[in-house]
Amino acid sequence: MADFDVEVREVTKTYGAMTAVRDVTLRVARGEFFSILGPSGCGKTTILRMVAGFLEPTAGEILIGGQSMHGVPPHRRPTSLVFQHLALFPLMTVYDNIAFGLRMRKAPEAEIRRRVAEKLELINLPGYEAKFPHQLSGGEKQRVAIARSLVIEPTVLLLDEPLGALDLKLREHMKAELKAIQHRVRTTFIYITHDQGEALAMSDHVAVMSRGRLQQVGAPPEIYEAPQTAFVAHFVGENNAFPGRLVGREGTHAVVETAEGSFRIRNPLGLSLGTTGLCFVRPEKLSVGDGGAVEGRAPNQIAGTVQELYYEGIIVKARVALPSGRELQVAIPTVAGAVVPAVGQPTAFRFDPDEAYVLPEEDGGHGRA
Amino acid sequence: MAERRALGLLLVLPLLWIGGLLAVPQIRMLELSFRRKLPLLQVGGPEDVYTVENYLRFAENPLYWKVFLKTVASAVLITFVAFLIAFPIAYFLAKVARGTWGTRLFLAIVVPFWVNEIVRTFAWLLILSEQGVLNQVLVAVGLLRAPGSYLYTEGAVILGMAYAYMLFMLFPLYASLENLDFSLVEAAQDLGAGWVRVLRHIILPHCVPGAVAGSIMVFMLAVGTYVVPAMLGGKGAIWFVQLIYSRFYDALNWNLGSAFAFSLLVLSLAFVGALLRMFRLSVGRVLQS
Repeated sequence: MADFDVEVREVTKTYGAMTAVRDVTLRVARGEFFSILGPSGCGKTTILRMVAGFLEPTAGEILIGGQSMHGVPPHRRPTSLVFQHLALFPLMTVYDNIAFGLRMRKAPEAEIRRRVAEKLELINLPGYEAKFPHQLSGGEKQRVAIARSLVIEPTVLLLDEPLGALDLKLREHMKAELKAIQHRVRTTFIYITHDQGEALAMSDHVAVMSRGRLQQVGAPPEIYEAPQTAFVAHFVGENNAFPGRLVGREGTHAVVETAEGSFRIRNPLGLSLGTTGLCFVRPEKLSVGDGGAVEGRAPNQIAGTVQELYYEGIIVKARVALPSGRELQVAIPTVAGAVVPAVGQPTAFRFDPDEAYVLPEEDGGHGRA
Repeated sequence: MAERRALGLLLVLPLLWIGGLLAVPQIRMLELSFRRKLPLLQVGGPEDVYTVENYLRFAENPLYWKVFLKTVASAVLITFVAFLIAFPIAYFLAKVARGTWGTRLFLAIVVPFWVNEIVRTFAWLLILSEQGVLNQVLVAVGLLRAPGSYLYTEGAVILGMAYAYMLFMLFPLYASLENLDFSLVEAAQDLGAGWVRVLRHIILPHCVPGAVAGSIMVFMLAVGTYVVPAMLGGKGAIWFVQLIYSRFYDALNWNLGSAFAFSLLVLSLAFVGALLRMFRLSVGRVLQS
């Protein structure tokens, strides 16, 4: 038995001169919730459609359950796709929609009845058999689409940004629901999204893609706390970036000289002395230290003038203008004891050496093979 | 106020048109069909009363019935053939052909229909006649040893008419297929349906309103046509409209002719009603497509 339900091996997909997916390798373990995260046009949907069988890779191979899927049409693959706009059959009732896959497999009618009822139970919509899709709310349609795909018991359930069309509140709710459903059925889910919040909250593993290339695969905390590329650092969550030059190395850390001062921070990729890189400090890793007094050029300190404060409930966001002309975003939790600086005040913000890191600048050479 | 008056004025013309040129003559024909054909001197005399005699003559004569039923059956067949021809073309235009190729193909299909119907039917004469294109090709390829004769047969009439009215099937079908969300097709494939079952469960049900709209038009036109059967059908294949024509022009019996015409109208409307019923569609729904 293969340990991986889905393996994407060195897959490339080109359309004429355009390369949609470039040499991507992914492994999705059995029963896991795997997300592919990236901005629109990064190739994530192309990968999903190749796994579903609607597209054939130009090069490379896709295996599902250890079997090569080369030349296997969508209706013979053990996958099931939940479409972005759900694609419920408008002329069929909820029952017929869910029963469709089973009917195509020529299951006996009694079994179909039983399994459809079971799935309606799973998605919490018993008694909805006779309704038509246009009579359902957004969230209900969503759940019916998931039930329709799950009823055929696919090895892998593929979801193509299915929450995109929902409003914020419902999206939050469906996120929890989807995770709960996955927990109950234990089917492997591959989830496509451009929303990093969704990807982080729901997934066991996240693959981040940009311009057809895989940037990083990891558990959500790894992706967030230890990005491997500048793209991931920028795209996932918010980040402050400062270009600088490595002037010292101390084990896993490096000293980087930037326009804002000298930073002693993590050097996860082991950049060598003299190279230039980007220093990343997330807004919530910064705090007002020692009353915010500016002390000369102390290490791991960024000083500037607070321009604006945005009270957001959980946090207060500060927009800080730096002498170099850059801006610094700071997020201060609204808890007792947290110091909120005053607007117009020169303030120093500090951060822990372990909570900031230096990464090479994006190579820009995306055209390279 | 002024706006409403302007709108009223705007409505006068179409109303006059419809009333004066469509409704009044039709009502006059309907009235004629309930009167006897009388010598001029007896018109307005004691013999000139309303009667259903003309309709009874139609109902009582099996020959008329036979021609009528054959016409309806042929029209159904023509509708079906038109659907078979138009469906793949409509599908190709709506879902496969993209950009300039789609437009070119569209033009290639539509441009012949700018030509008069009689001229187009003549084209079929050229194709189907004994020295025609079809025979030449078949003989040249070696499929036939001697040229066959296809003209003046039922088949020629059905083919000619299916082509003549194909566009009326093509457009509504194209419109339905155009708004078919292709992800429905993919969803069905993804759930295990091959092409045949995608066609049966997804595409065809989606096309029903368009297909019914097209069928009604093709059927009504086919049932009521005169030109094509007269040209391609010859003596063997008499169409009901030819009977009506001959009542008016050969027998000069307008009363009987209009009774035939209204019988045809009522019976074909009944047929359309049955069709709508069968697919549980309302007239409004079909008109929309």
